Amino acid sequence: MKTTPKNQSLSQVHRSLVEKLVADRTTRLRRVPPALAQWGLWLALAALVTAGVLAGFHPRPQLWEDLQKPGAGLFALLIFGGSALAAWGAILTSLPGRILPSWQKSLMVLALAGLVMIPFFAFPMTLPDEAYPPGLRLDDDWCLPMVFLIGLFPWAVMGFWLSQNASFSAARTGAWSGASAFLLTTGALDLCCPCWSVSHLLVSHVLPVGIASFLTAWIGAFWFSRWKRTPLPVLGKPRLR
Amino acid sequence: MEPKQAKSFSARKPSSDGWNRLQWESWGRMMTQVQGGDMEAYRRLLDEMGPLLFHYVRRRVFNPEMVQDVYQEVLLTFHKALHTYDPSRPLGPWLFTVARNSLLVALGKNRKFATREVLTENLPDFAAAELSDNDEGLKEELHQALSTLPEIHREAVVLLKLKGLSLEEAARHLGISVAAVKVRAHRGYVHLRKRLMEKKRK
Repeated sequence: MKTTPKNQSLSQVHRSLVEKLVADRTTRLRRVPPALAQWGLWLALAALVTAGVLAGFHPRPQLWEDLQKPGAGLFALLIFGGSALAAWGAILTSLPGRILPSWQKSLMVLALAGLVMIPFFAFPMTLPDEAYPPGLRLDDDWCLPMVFLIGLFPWAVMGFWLSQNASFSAARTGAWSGASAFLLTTGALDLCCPCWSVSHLLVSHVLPVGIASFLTAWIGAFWFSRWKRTPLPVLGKPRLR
Repeated sequence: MEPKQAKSFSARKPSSDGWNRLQWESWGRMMTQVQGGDMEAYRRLLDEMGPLLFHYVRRRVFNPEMVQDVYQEVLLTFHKALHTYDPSRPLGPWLFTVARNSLLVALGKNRKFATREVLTENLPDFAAAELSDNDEGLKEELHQALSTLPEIHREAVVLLKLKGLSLEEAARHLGISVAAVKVRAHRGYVHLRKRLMEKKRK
Protein backbone atom coordinates (compact mmCIF):
# COMPACT_ATOMS: atom_id res chain seq x y z
CA MET A 1 0.00 0.00 0.00
CA LYS A 2 1.36 3.42 -0.95
CA THR A 3 1.96 5.72 1.99
CA THR A 4 2.85 9.37 1.94
CA PRO A 5 6.10 10.51 3.59
CA LYS A 6 5.45 11.27 7.25
CA ASN A 7 6.77 14.86 7.33
CA GLN A 8 4.94 16.01 4.25
CA SER A 9 1.79 14.23 5.32
CA LEU A 10 1.75 15.86 8.74
CA SER A 11 2.25 19.36 7.31
CA GLN A 12 -0.58 18.77 4.88
CA VAL A 13 -2.84 17.30 7.52
CA HIS A 14 -2.09 20.25 9.80
CA ARG A 15 -2.76 22.76 7.01
CA SER A 16 -6.00 21.09 5.94
CA LEU A 17 -7.23 20.81 9.53
CA VAL A 18 -6.32 24.43 10.30
CA GLU A 19 -8.23 25.65 7.25
CA LYS A 20 -11.28 23.62 8.28
CA LEU A 21 -11.13 24.84 11.85
CA VAL A 22 -10.77 28.44 10.71
CA ALA A 23 -13.69 28.01 8.31
CA ASP A 24 -15.77 26.66 11.19
CA ARG A 25 -15.11 29.76 13.33
CA THR A 26 -16.71 32.32 11.08
CA THR A 27 -18.60 34.10 13.80
CA ARG A 28 -17.79 35.69 17.13
CA LEU A 29 -17.60 33.09 19.92
CA ARG A 30 -19.98 33.21 22.85
CA ARG A 31 -17.46 33.08 25.66
CA VAL A 32 -18.71 31.39 28.83
CA PRO A 33 -18.84 33.65 31.93
CA PRO A 34 -15.93 33.37 34.38
CA ALA A 35 -16.24 30.82 37.22
CA LEU A 36 -17.05 33.46 39.82
CA ALA A 37 -19.85 34.93 37.70
CA GLN A 38 -21.32 31.46 37.24
CA TRP A 39 -21.18 30.92 40.98
CA GLY A 40 -22.95 34.25 41.44
CA LEU A 41 -25.64 32.98 39.11
CA TRP A 42 -25.94 29.88 41.28
CA LEU A 43 -26.33 32.05 44.40
CA ALA A 44 -29.21 33.89 42.70
CA LEU A 45 -30.76 30.55 41.75
CA ALA A 46 -30.34 29.30 45.33
CA ALA A 47 -32.07 32.40 46.69
CA LEU A 48 -34.91 31.93 44.22
CA VAL A 49 -35.40 28.24 45.07
CA THR A 50 -35.24 28.87 48.82
CA ALA A 51 -37.70 31.76 48.57
CA GLY A 52 -40.01 29.63 46.39
CA VAL A 53 -39.97 26.71 48.83
CA LEU A 54 -40.52 28.98 51.85
CA ALA A 55 -43.40 30.73 50.08
CA GLY A 56 -44.94 27.45 48.97
CA PHE A 57 -44.66 25.42 52.17
CA HIS A 58 -44.34 28.14 54.90
CA PRO A 59 -41.44 27.98 57.37
CA ARG A 60 -41.93 25.92 60.53
CA PRO A 61 -43.00 27.91 63.63
CA GLN A 62 -40.15 29.19 65.81
CA LEU A 63 -37.74 28.53 62.98
CA TRP A 64 -35.44 31.33 64.03
CA GLU A 65 -35.36 30.12 67.68
CA ASP A 66 -34.68 26.55 66.52
CA LEU A 67 -31.87 27.64 64.22
CA GLN A 68 -30.16 29.40 67.11
CA LYS A 69 -29.65 26.04 68.82
CA PRO A 70 -26.07 25.02 67.96
CA GLY A 71 -26.89 21.58 66.50
CA ALA A 72 -29.76 22.69 64.27
CA GLY A 73 -27.93 25.86 63.23
CA LEU A 74 -24.80 23.94 62.32
CA PHE A 75 -26.86 21.37 60.40
CA ALA A 76 -28.54 24.08 58.31
CA LEU A 77 -25.21 25.84 57.80
CA LEU A 78 -23.58 22.64 56.57
CA ILE A 79 -26.43 21.98 54.15
CA PHE A 80 -26.35 25.43 52.56
CA GLY A 81 -22.55 25.76 52.82
CA GLY A 82 -22.09 22.28 51.36
CA SER A 83 -24.45 23.14 48.54
CA ALA A 84 -22.56 26.35 47.71
CA LEU A 85 -19.25 24.51 47.83
CA ALA A 86 -20.55 21.69 45.63
CA ALA A 87 -21.78 24.27 43.10
CA TRP A 88 -18.28 25.79 43.05
CA GLY A 89 -16.85 22.29 42.52
CA ALA A 90 -19.26 21.62 39.65
CA ILE A 91 -18.32 24.90 37.96
CA LEU A 92 -14.56 24.37 38.33
CA THR A 93 -14.65 20.79 37.07
CA SER A 94 -16.50 21.95 33.98
CA LEU A 95 -13.85 24.54 33.02
CA PRO A 96 -10.50 23.40 31.57
CA GLY A 97 -7.47 24.52 33.56
CA ARG A 98 -9.38 25.04 36.80
CA ILE A 99 -8.82 22.71 39.75
CA LEU A 100 -10.77 22.49 42.98
CA PRO A 101 -8.18 23.16 45.73
CA SER A 102 -7.67 20.27 48.11
CA TRP A 103 -8.73 22.33 51.14
CA GLN A 104 -12.10 22.86 49.45
CA LYS A 105 -12.41 19.14 48.76
CA SER A 106 -11.59 18.42 52.41
CA LEU A 107 -14.15 20.98 53.52
CA MET A 108 -16.76 19.31 51.33
CA VAL A 109 -15.99 15.87 52.78
CA LEU A 110 -16.21 17.33 56.30
CA ALA A 111 -19.54 18.97 55.46
CA LEU A 112 -20.96 15.69 54.15
CA ALA A 113 -19.68 13.78 57.16
CA GLY A 114 -21.17 16.47 59.39
CA LEU A 115 -24.55 16.14 57.71
CA VAL A 116 -24.67 12.46 58.63
CA MET A 117 -23.18 12.82 62.12
CA ILE A 118 -24.77 15.97 63.49
CA PRO A 119 -28.39 14.73 63.57
CA PHE A 120 -27.35 12.00 66.05
CA PHE A 121 -26.17 14.66 68.50
CA ALA A 122 -28.58 17.48 67.80
CA PHE A 123 -32.00 15.90 67.25
CA PRO A 124 -34.18 13.25 68.95
CA MET A 125 -34.35 9.82 67.30
CA THR A 126 -38.11 10.11 66.64
CA LEU A 127 -40.81 12.66 67.42
CA PRO A 128 -44.15 11.88 69.10
CA ASP A 129 -47.22 12.99 67.09
CA GLU A 130 -48.08 15.74 69.58
CA ALA A 131 -44.64 17.31 69.09
CA TYR A 132 -45.49 18.28 65.52
CA PRO A 133 -46.14 22.00 65.23
CA PRO A 134 -49.72 22.59 64.05
CA GLY A 135 -50.72 24.35 60.84
CA LEU A 136 -47.87 23.20 58.59
CA ARG A 137 -48.35 22.55 54.91
CA LEU A 138 -45.48 20.11 54.55
CA ASP A 139 -46.16 16.65 55.89
CA ASP A 140 -43.08 14.62 56.84
CA ASP A 141 -44.10 11.82 54.45
CA TRP A 142 -43.68 14.24 51.59
CA CYS A 143 -40.14 15.40 52.29
CA LEU A 144 -38.44 12.60 50.36
CA PRO A 145 -40.40 12.90 47.09
CA MET A 146 -40.32 16.70 47.38
CA VAL A 147 -36.51 16.72 47.60
CA PHE A 148 -36.35 14.74 44.36
CA LEU A 149 -39.08 16.69 42.63
CA ILE A 150 -38.08 20.24 43.53
CA GLY A 151 -34.36 19.47 43.27
CA LEU A 152 -34.77 18.66 39.61
CA PHE A 153 -35.45 22.33 38.83
CA PRO A 154 -32.18 23.85 40.13
CA TRP A 155 -30.26 20.87 38.76
CA ALA A 156 -31.74 21.25 35.28
CA VAL A 157 -31.03 25.00 35.26
CA MET A 158 -27.51 24.48 36.53
CA GLY A 159 -26.98 21.55 34.17
CA PHE A 160 -28.02 23.67 31.23
CA TRP A 161 -25.37 26.29 31.85
CA LEU A 162 -22.71 23.75 32.88
CA SER A 163 -23.29 21.94 29.60
CA GLN A 164 -22.21 25.14 27.82
CA ASN A 165 -18.80 24.80 29.51
CA ALA A 166 -16.32 22.12 28.51
CA SER A 167 -16.05 19.47 31.20
CA PHE A 168 -13.31 16.88 30.91
CA SER A 169 -14.62 14.97 33.93
CA ALA A 170 -18.31 14.96 33.10
CA ALA A 171 -19.36 12.41 35.73
CA ARG A 172 -17.67 14.44 38.44
CA THR A 173 -19.36 17.61 37.21
CA GLY A 174 -22.65 15.71 37.30
CA ALA A 175 -22.08 14.51 40.85
CA TRP A 176 -21.07 17.95 42.15
CA SER A 177 -23.99 19.67 40.43
CA GLY A 178 -26.44 17.06 41.74
CA ALA A 179 -25.09 17.36 45.27
CA SER A 180 -25.39 21.13 45.04
CA ALA A 181 -28.93 21.27 43.65
CA PHE A 182 -30.38 18.60 45.92
CA LEU A 183 -28.59 19.86 49.04
CA LEU A 184 -30.04 23.27 48.31
CA THR A 185 -33.54 21.78 48.00
CA THR A 186 -33.20 19.67 51.10
CA GLY A 187 -31.94 22.72 52.99
CA ALA A 188 -34.90 24.81 51.89
CA LEU A 189 -37.35 22.01 52.76
CA ASP A 190 -35.59 21.54 56.08
CA LEU A 191 -36.69 25.05 57.04
CA CYS A 192 -40.32 24.05 56.42
CA CYS A 193 -40.19 20.46 57.66
CA PRO A 194 -42.23 19.70 60.79
CA CYS A 195 -40.14 16.71 61.79
CA TRP A 196 -36.60 17.35 62.93
CA SER A 197 -35.72 13.86 64.07
CA VAL A 198 -32.64 11.76 63.31
CA SER A 199 -34.41 9.06 61.31
CA HIS A 200 -36.45 11.52 59.27
CA LEU A 201 -33.56 13.91 58.54
CA LEU A 202 -31.26 11.09 57.49
CA VAL A 203 -33.77 9.08 55.47
CA SER A 204 -35.87 11.83 53.91
CA HIS A 205 -33.39 14.71 53.68
CA VAL A 206 -29.81 13.42 53.48
CA LEU A 207 -30.29 10.05 51.76
CA PRO A 208 -32.07 11.49 48.68
CA VAL A 209 -29.14 13.84 48.18
CA GLY A 210 -26.80 10.83 48.05
CA ILE A 211 -29.05 8.94 45.64
CA ALA A 212 -29.61 12.00 43.44
CA SER A 213 -25.87 12.75 43.31
CA PHE A 214 -25.21 9.21 42.12
CA LEU A 215 -27.89 9.50 39.43
CA THR A 216 -26.75 12.93 38.31
CA ALA A 217 -23.16 11.65 38.04
CA TRP A 218 -24.45 8.98 35.71
CA ILE A 219 -26.60 11.34 33.62
CA GLY A 220 -23.90 14.02 33.74
CA ALA A 221 -21.36 11.62 32.23
CA PHE A 222 -23.40 11.82 29.01
CA TRP A 223 -24.79 15.32 29.25
CA PHE A 224 -21.66 17.23 30.19
CA SER A 225 -19.47 15.40 27.69
CA ARG A 226 -21.80 16.19 24.80
CA TRP A 227 -19.68 19.15 23.72
CA LYS A 228 -16.90 16.74 22.72
CA ARG A 229 -19.22 14.77 20.45
CA THR A 230 -20.70 17.80 18.70
CA PRO A 231 -19.77 17.58 15.01
CA LEU A 232 -18.14 20.54 13.33
CA PRO A 233 -20.25 21.75 10.39
CA VAL A 234 -17.26 21.78 8.04
CA LEU A 235 -16.16 18.29 9.02
CA GLY A 236 -19.59 16.71 8.79
CA LYS A 237 -20.42 13.76 11.02
CA PRO A 238 -18.64 13.27 14.36
CA ARG A 239 -15.26 11.61 14.04
CA LEU A 240 -14.67 7.97 14.95
CA ARG A 241 -18.39 7.14 15.20
CA MET B 1 -5.50 36.45 2.06
CA GLU B 2 -3.52 33.39 1.04
CA PRO B 3 -2.77 31.19 4.07
CA LYS B 4 0.83 30.77 5.04
CA GLN B 5 2.18 27.33 4.13
CA ALA B 6 3.45 25.34 7.09
CA LYS B 7 6.93 24.21 6.10
CA SER B 8 8.28 20.84 7.21
CA PHE B 9 5.95 20.99 10.17
CA SER B 10 7.03 17.92 12.10
CA ALA B 11 10.72 18.82 11.70
CA ARG B 12 10.17 22.18 13.33
CA LYS B 13 11.01 21.88 17.01
CA PRO B 14 9.90 24.54 19.47
CA SER B 15 12.92 26.68 20.23
CA SER B 16 14.08 26.63 23.83
CA ASP B 17 13.35 30.32 24.30
CA GLY B 18 10.11 30.18 22.31
CA TRP B 19 7.82 29.34 25.19
CA ASN B 20 8.64 32.19 27.47
CA ARG B 21 6.25 34.49 29.23
CA LEU B 22 6.01 36.92 26.31
CA GLN B 23 5.08 34.13 23.96
CA TRP B 24 2.30 32.97 26.27
CA GLU B 25 1.05 36.52 26.69
CA SER B 26 1.01 36.99 22.95
CA TRP B 27 -0.98 33.78 22.52
CA GLY B 28 -3.32 34.85 25.28
CA ARG B 29 -4.00 38.07 23.36
CA MET B 30 -4.50 36.08 20.17
CA MET B 31 -6.99 33.83 21.95
CA THR B 32 -8.98 36.91 22.93
CA GLN B 33 -8.90 38.10 19.32
CA VAL B 34 -10.06 34.67 18.16
CA GLN B 35 -12.94 34.74 20.63
CA GLY B 36 -13.82 38.11 19.12
CA GLY B 37 -14.05 36.52 15.67
CA ASP B 38 -10.60 37.33 14.18
CA MET B 39 -9.95 34.44 11.80
CA GLU B 40 -6.48 35.56 10.74
CA ALA B 41 -5.40 35.53 14.39
CA TYR B 42 -6.86 32.03 14.70
CA ARG B 43 -4.86 30.75 11.73
CA ARG B 44 -1.69 32.34 13.12
CA LEU B 45 -2.36 30.95 16.59
CA LEU B 46 -2.90 27.40 15.31
CA ASP B 47 0.26 27.61 13.22
CA GLU B 48 2.30 28.90 16.14
CA MET B 49 0.87 26.51 18.71
CA GLY B 50 0.92 23.52 16.35
CA PRO B 51 4.58 22.57 16.92
CA LEU B 52 4.21 22.88 20.70
CA LEU B 53 1.13 20.66 20.74
CA PHE B 54 2.67 18.23 18.28
CA HIS B 55 5.78 17.81 20.41
CA TYR B 56 3.61 17.48 23.51
CA VAL B 57 1.80 14.60 21.79
CA ARG B 58 4.95 13.02 20.35
CA ARG B 59 6.63 12.88 23.76
CA ARG B 60 3.67 10.95 25.16
CA VAL B 61 2.57 8.72 22.31
CA PHE B 62 5.11 6.03 21.52
CA ASN B 63 3.44 4.58 18.45
CA PRO B 64 4.49 6.85 15.53
CA GLU B 65 1.42 5.87 13.51
CA MET B 66 -0.85 7.20 16.21
CA VAL B 67 0.87 10.54 16.75
CA GLN B 68 -0.87 12.19 13.81
CA ASP B 69 -4.33 10.96 14.84
CA VAL B 70 -3.85 12.07 18.41
CA TYR B 71 -2.52 15.45 17.27
CA GLN B 72 -5.67 15.97 15.18
CA GLU B 73 -7.84 15.03 18.13
CA VAL B 74 -5.99 17.54 20.32
CA LEU B 75 -6.51 20.35 17.79
CA LEU B 76 -10.19 19.48 17.40
CA THR B 77 -10.75 19.50 21.15
CA PHE B 78 -8.86 22.79 21.41
CA HIS B 79 -11.21 24.18 18.78
CA LYS B 80 -14.33 22.99 20.57
CA ALA B 81 -13.22 24.25 23.99
CA LEU B 82 -12.07 27.66 22.75
CA HIS B 83 -15.08 29.45 24.24
CA THR B 84 -14.14 28.41 27.78
CA TYR B 85 -10.83 30.28 27.87
CA ASP B 86 -10.96 33.12 30.36
CA PRO B 87 -8.62 35.95 29.20
CA SER B 88 -8.06 37.08 32.79
CA ARG B 89 -6.32 33.77 33.57
CA PRO B 90 -3.05 32.34 32.20
CA LEU B 91 -3.34 30.36 28.99
CA GLY B 92 -0.85 27.58 29.87
CA PRO B 93 -2.95 25.58 32.38
CA TRP B 94 -5.99 25.86 30.12
CA LEU B 95 -4.10 24.70 27.02
CA PHE B 96 -2.36 21.78 28.70
CA THR B 97 -5.55 20.60 30.40
CA VAL B 98 -7.20 20.51 26.98
CA ALA B 99 -4.17 18.78 25.42
CA ARG B 100 -3.74 16.21 28.18
CA ASN B 101 -7.39 15.24 28.32
CA SER B 102 -7.91 15.02 24.58
CA LEU B 103 -4.73 12.95 24.34
CA LEU B 104 -6.07 10.51 26.93
CA VAL B 105 -9.41 10.30 25.12
CA ALA B 106 -7.72 9.72 21.75
CA LEU B 107 -5.43 7.04 23.18
CA GLY B 108 -8.41 5.31 24.77
CA LYS B 109 -10.27 5.32 21.44
CA ASN B 110 -7.26 4.02 19.55
CA ARG B 111 -6.73 1.25 22.08
CA LYS B 112 -10.38 0.24 21.71
CA PHE B 113 -10.05 0.06 17.92
CA ALA B 114 -6.72 -1.73 18.07
CA THR B 115 -8.25 -4.59 20.07
CA ARG B 116 -10.87 -5.13 17.35
CA GLU B 117 -9.15 -4.58 14.04
CA VAL B 118 -6.58 -6.63 12.18
CA LEU B 119 -4.33 -4.63 9.86
CA THR B 120 -3.18 -6.29 6.65
CA GLU B 121 -0.99 -4.74 3.99
CA ASN B 122 -2.25 -6.98 1.18
CA LEU B 123 -5.46 -8.89 1.04
CA PRO B 124 -5.17 -12.56 -0.01
CA ASP B 125 -6.30 -12.99 -3.62
CA PHE B 126 -7.66 -16.57 -3.56
CA ALA B 127 -11.25 -15.36 -3.35
CA ALA B 128 -10.77 -13.37 -6.58
CA ALA B 129 -9.23 -16.40 -8.32
CA GLU B 130 -12.19 -18.54 -7.40
CA LEU B 131 -14.59 -16.04 -8.87
CA SER B 132 -12.57 -14.98 -11.91
CA ASP B 133 -14.91 -16.77 -14.34
CA ASN B 134 -17.80 -14.82 -13.05
CA ASP B 135 -16.20 -11.36 -12.98
CA GLU B 136 -18.95 -9.38 -14.68
CA GLY B 137 -21.68 -10.82 -12.50
CA LEU B 138 -19.63 -10.15 -9.39
CA LYS B 139 -18.94 -6.57 -10.47
CA GLU B 140 -22.62 -6.02 -10.99
CA GLU B 141 -23.48 -7.53 -7.60
CA LEU B 142 -20.78 -5.49 -5.90
CA HIS B 143 -22.01 -2.27 -7.48
CA GLN B 144 -25.55 -3.03 -6.39
CA ALA B 145 -24.40 -3.82 -2.86
CA LEU B 146 -22.25 -0.67 -2.82
CA SER B 147 -25.23 1.47 -3.75
CA THR B 148 -27.04 0.25 -0.63
CA LEU B 149 -24.25 1.44 1.67
CA PRO B 150 -24.69 4.61 3.70
CA GLU B 151 -22.92 7.53 2.03
CA ILE B 152 -20.04 7.86 4.52
CA HIS B 153 -19.22 4.14 4.42
CA ARG B 154 -19.46 4.00 0.62
CA GLU B 155 -17.06 6.94 0.27
CA ALA B 156 -14.45 5.19 2.40
CA VAL B 157 -14.76 1.86 0.55
CA VAL B 158 -14.67 3.52 -2.89
CA LEU B 159 -11.62 5.64 -2.06
CA LEU B 160 -9.67 2.75 -0.56
CA LYS B 161 -10.68 -0.18 -2.75
CA LEU B 162 -11.80 1.27 -6.08
CA LYS B 163 -9.64 4.37 -6.37
CA GLY B 164 -6.74 2.71 -4.55
CA LEU B 165 -5.89 5.61 -2.25
CA SER B 166 -3.80 5.00 0.85
CA LEU B 167 -5.41 5.42 4.28
CA GLU B 168 -3.67 8.77 4.74
CA GLU B 169 -4.78 10.03 1.34
CA ALA B 170 -8.36 8.95 1.94
CA ALA B 171 -8.29 10.60 5.36
CA ARG B 172 -7.05 13.84 3.83
CA HIS B 173 -9.64 13.67 1.09
CA LEU B 174 -12.48 13.19 3.55
CA GLY B 175 -11.07 15.59 6.14
CA ILE B 176 -11.13 12.99 8.92
CA SER B 177 -8.53 10.96 10.79
CA VAL B 178 -6.98 7.74 9.53
CA ALA B 179 -8.64 5.82 12.37
CA ALA B 180 -12.02 7.19 11.30
CA VAL B 181 -11.40 6.06 7.70
CA LYS B 182 -10.56 2.57 8.95
CA VAL B 183 -13.73 2.43 11.00
CA ARG B 184 -15.92 3.65 8.13
CA ALA B 185 -14.32 1.25 5.69
CA HIS B 186 -14.65 -1.64 8.14
CA ARG B 187 -18.34 -0.92 8.62
CA GLY B 188 -18.71 -0.71 4.87
CA TYR B 189 -17.08 -4.14 4.42
CA VAL B 190 -19.33 -5.68 7.06
CA HIS B 191 -22.37 -4.22 5.34
CA LEU B 192 -21.18 -5.39 1.92
CA ARG B 193 -20.48 -8.91 3.16
CA LYS B 194 -23.95 -9.08 4.69
CA ARG B 195 -25.58 -7.96 1.45
CA LEU B 196 -23.61 -10.38 -0.70
CA MET B 197 -24.31 -13.30 1.65
CA GLU B 198 -28.02 -12.50 1.57
CA LYS B 199 -27.94 -12.48 -2.21
CA LYS B 200 -26.05 -15.78 -2.32
CA ARG B 201 -28.62 -17.40 -0.03
CA LYS B 202 -31.46 -16.23 -2.27
